[in-house]
Amino acid sequence: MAPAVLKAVAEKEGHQSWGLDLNIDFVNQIEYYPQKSEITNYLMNQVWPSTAVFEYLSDIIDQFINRVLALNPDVVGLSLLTYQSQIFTYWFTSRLKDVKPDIQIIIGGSGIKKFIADNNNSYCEDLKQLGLIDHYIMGDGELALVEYLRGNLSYNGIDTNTWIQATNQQLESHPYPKYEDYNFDLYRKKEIPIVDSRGCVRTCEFCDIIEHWTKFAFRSGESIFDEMLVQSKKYGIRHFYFKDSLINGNMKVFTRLVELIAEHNRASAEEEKFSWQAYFIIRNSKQHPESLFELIKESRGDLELGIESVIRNVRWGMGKKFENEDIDWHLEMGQKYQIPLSLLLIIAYPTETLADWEFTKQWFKDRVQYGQNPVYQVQLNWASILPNTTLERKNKEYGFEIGKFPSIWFDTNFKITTQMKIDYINELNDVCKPFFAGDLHHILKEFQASAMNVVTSYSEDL
Amino acid sequence: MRVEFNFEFGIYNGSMSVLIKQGDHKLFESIDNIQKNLVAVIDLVSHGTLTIQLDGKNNNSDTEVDSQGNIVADKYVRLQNLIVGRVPVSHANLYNLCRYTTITGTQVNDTYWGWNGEVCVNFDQTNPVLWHAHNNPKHVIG
Repeated sequence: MAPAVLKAVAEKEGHQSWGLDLNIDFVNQIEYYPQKSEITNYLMNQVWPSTAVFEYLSDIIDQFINRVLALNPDVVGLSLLTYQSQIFTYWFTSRLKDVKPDIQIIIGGSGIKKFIADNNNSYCEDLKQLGLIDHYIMGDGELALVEYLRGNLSYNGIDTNTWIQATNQQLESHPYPKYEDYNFDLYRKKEIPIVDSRGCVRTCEFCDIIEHWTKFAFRSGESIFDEMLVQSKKYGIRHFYFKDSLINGNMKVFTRLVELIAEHNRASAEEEKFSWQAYFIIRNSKQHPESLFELIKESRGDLELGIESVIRNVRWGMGKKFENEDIDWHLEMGQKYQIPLSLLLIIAYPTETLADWEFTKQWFKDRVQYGQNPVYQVQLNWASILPNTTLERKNKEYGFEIGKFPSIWFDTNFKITTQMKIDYINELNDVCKPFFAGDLHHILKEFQASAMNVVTSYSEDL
Repeated sequence: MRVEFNFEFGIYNGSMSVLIKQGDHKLFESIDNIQKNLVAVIDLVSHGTLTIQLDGKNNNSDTEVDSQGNIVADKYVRLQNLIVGRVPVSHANLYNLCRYTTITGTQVNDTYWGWNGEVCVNFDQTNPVLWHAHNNPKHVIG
């Protein structure tokens, strides 16, 4: 959504601008290319492809550059969603500067670093030194881009490793993203992304979001709902995806928001009703009473629940301080009100024991009645040690050694091997089969297979 | 396409001259350079081999050798870096790209040029992405 956000910011400053989502074009274009894996392997892991594949990549770069230059811009801003955009950006900027040397190029987005909380900004500095880019923006672009456009290049966030986080008031006053240059038909699911908050109210030790956005900042329910109304009228899309870490960080705001959406839905014909999907943290039944689930149902919410571990002690150690009864409360309410739930689980966390793994499998077996309704998906995520997190800093205390990638780490006590972890994820995957709807299980299998390949390849690193 | 040569000059009894040409078209020339480092930036508009002509070295008087036979001063040119489309060529590839023919007819791949002669560098593309694809394989970014 960054191009739409930044387009709105630039237009508010009086500049004509366009927000192109080149990522979706790229993804769709390579989808059926026979050597797709060579391209992705190069862009993600720098495994050099064949010359023919490189030529294909070069053709795509030229297509994109022609699209950009047809608009005759003075400044091109590239927002990198993840580090996987870095290699493409490198060659894209080389070609763009080659074709139009006087064009100003700025880059930003969480992908300008390998991980969001990483302190290493060498990628940006290297590109700047080579002359591939003119400037880079660290952190949220909404504020820094304004300063850039006003010529204030000494602003904290432009060409620096530090940046200033937006306050609640600033978040609220950002213009609504402008998607005029997007073609929503290109996406698998037609939905409008919305930013409702930044950061998190919790301090989970594995999480790098709280290291990046150190304060929880949020918008009011009225402001979010107004954006939903404006965007739905403009683009004819009534499904919204909240892009942040949690929608219910501030219960007053969240309750007001679902009240407003529920009111709208009650007063609207079926095709006009809103629906939404968001990450959601679990709280106890006093904080999340049954009436809240009624509102979520009426507002047509779809919740991604960050459970992470069903082992109480492990979960509390992570920093997720809720009880197992609270998880069951959400499952029960989800089923009663038919609220779709997707459960997020971290697999083989460093503090888990073999007994914990058995408990986890049994926990799912005991809750098979929630399969399909309300739980349509269990997202089993391989435990990763992200840079600059509390978990990384606890490596000695927990007894692990970090490998080349966050997902590659080793139990230094050798009690749990990589193969044991792989076997466990397979077993748990089988146990969780009743919870998957449609082909999601198949997709997960593919993901896991690739994760296992990586783990197996690099397990020699130890 | 922007092509940047970063030269290091060994200055002893003056410096070697460097002339960069594409066919008969002169693109860069350095005579009597007194700087240790010199950057030549060329805007390459058509593909074809670039020839770097090296001259001004007297092999009898422009190299000083001590009693053990070690070179203590020399007139030479070394190509430190080649940057094409603002992207540097890796040193392993740079070595392979520089076909150096000395005035005596010896042909080697090298980036250290201590004899008069010429160096040919292939520019079969003027699109930097394609040029690197063909000539700078396994270039590691970051």
